[in-house]
Amino acid sequence: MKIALIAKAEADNPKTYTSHKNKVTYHPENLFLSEEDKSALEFALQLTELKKGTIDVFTFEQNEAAERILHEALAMGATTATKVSAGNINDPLLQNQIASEFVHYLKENNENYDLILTGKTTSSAFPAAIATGLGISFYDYVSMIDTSLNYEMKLEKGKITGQCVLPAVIATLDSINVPRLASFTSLSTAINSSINNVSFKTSDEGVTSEIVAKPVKNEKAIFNLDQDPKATQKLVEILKQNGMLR
Amino acid sequence: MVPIYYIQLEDKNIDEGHNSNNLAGLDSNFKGKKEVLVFSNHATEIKDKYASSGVKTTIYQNENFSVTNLPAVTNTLRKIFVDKANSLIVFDKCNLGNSLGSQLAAVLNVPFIYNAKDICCDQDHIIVNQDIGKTQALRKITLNDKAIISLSCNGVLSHSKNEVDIIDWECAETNAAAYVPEANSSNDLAYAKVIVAGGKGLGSPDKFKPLATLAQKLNASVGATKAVTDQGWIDKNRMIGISNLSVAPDVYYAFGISGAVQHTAGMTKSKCVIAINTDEAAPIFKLANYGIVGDANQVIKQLNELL
Amino acid sequence: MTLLYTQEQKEYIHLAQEFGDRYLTPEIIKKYDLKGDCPSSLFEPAIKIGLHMLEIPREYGGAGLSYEDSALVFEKLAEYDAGYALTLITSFVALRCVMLAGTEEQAQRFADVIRPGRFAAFTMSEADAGSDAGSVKARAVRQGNEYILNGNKAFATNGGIADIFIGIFRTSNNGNHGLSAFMIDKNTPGIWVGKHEDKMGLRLSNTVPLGFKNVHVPAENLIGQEGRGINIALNSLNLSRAYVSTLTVGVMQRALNEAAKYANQREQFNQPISQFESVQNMLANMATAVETARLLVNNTMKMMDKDLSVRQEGAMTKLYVTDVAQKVTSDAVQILGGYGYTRAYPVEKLMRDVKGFQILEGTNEIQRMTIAREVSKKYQD
Repeated sequence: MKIALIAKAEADNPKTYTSHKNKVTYHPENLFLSEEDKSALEFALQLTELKKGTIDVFTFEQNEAAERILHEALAMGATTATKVSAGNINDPLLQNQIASEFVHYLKENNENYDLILTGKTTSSAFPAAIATGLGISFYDYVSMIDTSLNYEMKLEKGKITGQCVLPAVIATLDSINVPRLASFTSLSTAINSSINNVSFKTSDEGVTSEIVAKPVKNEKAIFNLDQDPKATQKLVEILKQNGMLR
Repeated sequence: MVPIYYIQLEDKNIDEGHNSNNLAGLDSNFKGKKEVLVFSNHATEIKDKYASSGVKTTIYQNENFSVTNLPAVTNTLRKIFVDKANSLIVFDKCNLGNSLGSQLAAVLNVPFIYNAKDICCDQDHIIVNQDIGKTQALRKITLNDKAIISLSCNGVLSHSKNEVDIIDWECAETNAAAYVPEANSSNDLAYAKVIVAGGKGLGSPDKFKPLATLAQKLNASVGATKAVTDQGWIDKNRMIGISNLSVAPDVYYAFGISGAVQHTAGMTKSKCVIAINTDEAAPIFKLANYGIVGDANQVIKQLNELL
Repeated sequence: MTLLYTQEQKEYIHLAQEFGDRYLTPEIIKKYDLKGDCPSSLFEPAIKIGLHMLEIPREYGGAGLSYEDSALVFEKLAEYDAGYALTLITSFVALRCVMLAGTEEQAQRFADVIRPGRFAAFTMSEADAGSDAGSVKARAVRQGNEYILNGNKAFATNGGIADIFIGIFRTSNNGNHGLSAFMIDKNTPGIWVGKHEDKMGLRLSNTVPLGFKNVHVPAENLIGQEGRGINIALNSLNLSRAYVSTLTVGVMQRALNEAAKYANQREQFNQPISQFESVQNMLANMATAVETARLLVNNTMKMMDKDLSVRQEGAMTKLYVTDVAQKVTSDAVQILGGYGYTRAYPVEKLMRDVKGFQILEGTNEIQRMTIAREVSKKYQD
C-alpha cells in the first residue's frame, strides 16, 4: 500500500510570530511536527503494519523547521522524507498553485498513492486541491478512522459516518489516535539519514499576502450606569466596534 | 463593489449547515450587492425565516437533498460560479462550511480564506485579515478576483423584508454516508454561539420575559444560574454550571449574575463575557471583557430599545 | 537560553519533553513522591524509547548519543522528576564503567542484562564507609575459581530494583588499594535486599541497604584486577557526578519556571509580585545561576566526549551546580510563599530533591578536597 503524508508544523504555538512596535518577527526555531500530523502518521503506520506498504513524507515548510519535521516523521517510522521548496504553503493566495505543481510532480514521477494523509492543523484549500487535481475522493475533518477505513467526519452537532473509497486524500483531526513516541535510537538514525529535496518554480508574478502586526485592542471596558446614563449606548458602540455585535 | 454570496444548507432531517447569527450579520458586515443561496429539502417551511434577513435569497429545493451529499452542493455551486466575474463566496466558519468552502475553492481554482476577519470592501477589491494561530501577527490578504471565505459574526436581526425565490434543483442521489447526531444535539443552549443568561439579580421570574426578547434580537439562547432554576423561575435544562451544562459560546451576556464558581465553571470557555451587575466587586467582573455596573433589568430594557 | 543548541540537540530535547509531558505528569509524580516509591511499570515507556541506555554505543544496544547530547536530554527529564532520571542514569553509568574497566565479554554480558529493561546498581558505601572509601569492610575471599562475598552495604541506589550489581569488596588489607570490583547477579543465593530508605527527596529513586552472606561469585566476574576497585569506583563517580550535575540543572530550571510564572500571576498591593524589586532580585539571581550551571555542565560533557580527564572539572561542576541549586530552589519556595510551602505546589519537592545532590556521588566536602589537590599539584615545583 502506498501512502503519502503531508507533514506540517504545529499551528498553535503563540511564539511563532512576535510583534514589537508594528514589526513582526518570524521564529521557526521552536516549530515541530504538529500533533494532527503525528496522529495521521500513526494511522499510516498502523495500516502498513497490517498490510505491507510504504509511507513517503513530504513537507512544504521552509528552513530549519522542515528538517526537524522530517526527522520526527522518519524517527516514528516513515519510509522516505522529502522537503519541497515551493513558496509559502500557509499563504491562501499560493495554495492552489502549489497544489497543482505537486500534482504535476506526482504524475510525472508515476507516484500513484493509494492514500494521501494530512493532519488538520488549520483549514486550507490545499488538501482539497490535491484531491481535485488527482481526481480522487476527499474526506475532511475525520475525527475517527479505523484500519478498515470506516470513518467519522465531525460536524457541529453530530457526525457523518461512512467508509473511505480509495484512492483518497484524507484530512484527519488529532482525535483519531494517540501517536507513538519515537525512540532516541530511531531519532538518532533519522538525524543522520538523507532527505530528498524537490523544488517547484513559484510564479513570481503572483500576488502574495502580507504579514502584519495585530493592532493592540483595548479589550476590557466596564461602564457605570449610575455615573453615566449613556453607559448602555457606549457598551453597544464598543461591542459593535470590536465585532461582538455586528 | 464586489457582489457577496452567502451559502447555507437547510436539511429538515439534519440540523447542520446553517447559522442565524451569520445570516443576521451579513447586512452590517458587507456593503454592495448581496445574495443568500440556500440548498434545502423543505423550502416552503424555511421561506419565512429567510424572508426577514434583509438580503435577497434563492432557495434551491430538492426533496432528496441531504447534508451528507456535499458533492451535489459543490457541483451546483461550481456551475453557478465558474463563469461569474469577481465575487466573494461566504461560508460559515464551522467544519461543514470550511470543508465545503475549501472544496469549492479547489474546483474553481480560487483562494480559500478560513476565518476571515476585518473585511474591507472597496471599489474593485476586498481586503481580509486572517489570524495566524494564537500569535501576535495577522495575515493581510488582498483579493483581486473571485475568492471564498469562511467567517463567523454575531449580527442583530434587522427584520427588514426581502424577496425569496424557490428554484427546483437537480440533485444526484448518493449512497452510503449516514449522519449520527450527538447526545444533546437537540439542546440549543449547548451549541449556541451567543448566550444571554439571567441570575438572581433580575429579581423575579417575569423579568425573564424581556430577557427572552433580547435573546431573540441577538439570535441568542437563554441560560440561567442554579439559584434561578432552583426557584423554578425557568426550566431546569437552561441551567449553566457545574451540575448541568458547560457552554463555550462566542459571546456570553451575564445579567444579574454574581459569578459564583459553580456557575462560572460552566461558562469560562466563552470567548467574550459581558457582565451586568449592581455590585462592582462581583467576581463575574474578573471574568468579564466588557460590562456595566448597574441594574440588569434597566440595561435589558435599554438594550431592547437600542437594538 | 544562552547555550547555543544544535539542531539535533533541539530535536532530542523535544522528544524528551514529549515523553515527560505524556508519562511524567504532575499528578503521577506527586503520587509517587508522597508514597516514596516508583513502580517498574513507570519505567517501561522510558525503556521502550531507549532512555535506559541513552549514552551507550549502538553495538551494545544503546542509542549512541554523545555525553553532551545525553546530558541535555536528562536535564530536560529532571525537570519532571530527578529521582526518576537518576534511576535510569545509575544503570547505564554502571554499564559504562564495565565497558571502561572490564573485558569485552563482561561488557556484553552486562549489556545483555540491561538492554531488555532490567536495572543495574553500584554499591560501595557501607554504614561506616561513606566518604572514607578506604574503610570498606565487606570482604571478597578467593576460593578456587570463585570469590566468596560477605558484608553489608548501605545506600545502594537502584539496589532494590536491580538485576545486576557492581559491588566494591575488600580483597586485601591495604586501605584504598585493597578493594576490588565485582559483577554480581542479584539472583545469587545469599543476597538480601533491605528496606527502602524513607528519604527527604529523590523519593522515586530506589535506595536500599544490601547484605551479602557467603555469596559465591565466579572469578570471571572480577572487573579489571584485584586492588583496582577504587579506580573503577572513581571512574564511575566521574561519570555519575557529571550526570548528577545535569539533573540538578534540570531541577533548577523547573524551579525558575514555576517561580517566574507565579510571580507574574500573583497580585499583592494591586500589582503582580514580579514588579517588586526583592522578587526581581531573586529571579535575576536564579536565572543567572541556571545559565552558569548549564554552561559548566555542557563544557565538562564536551571534555568527556573528547576523552579528556575531568577529575578536576567534574568535581568543580558538581560542587558549583549542587551548591547554587540550594538557593535557587529555596528562593522558588520563597517566591511562592505560603502556597510554595505546601505539597499542593511542586516547588517544595524541588528543594528536597536538590539537597540530596550535595551529598550523594561524593559529598561536596570531598569534591573540595579533590579540587584542592589538583590545584596544588599544578603549582608544585
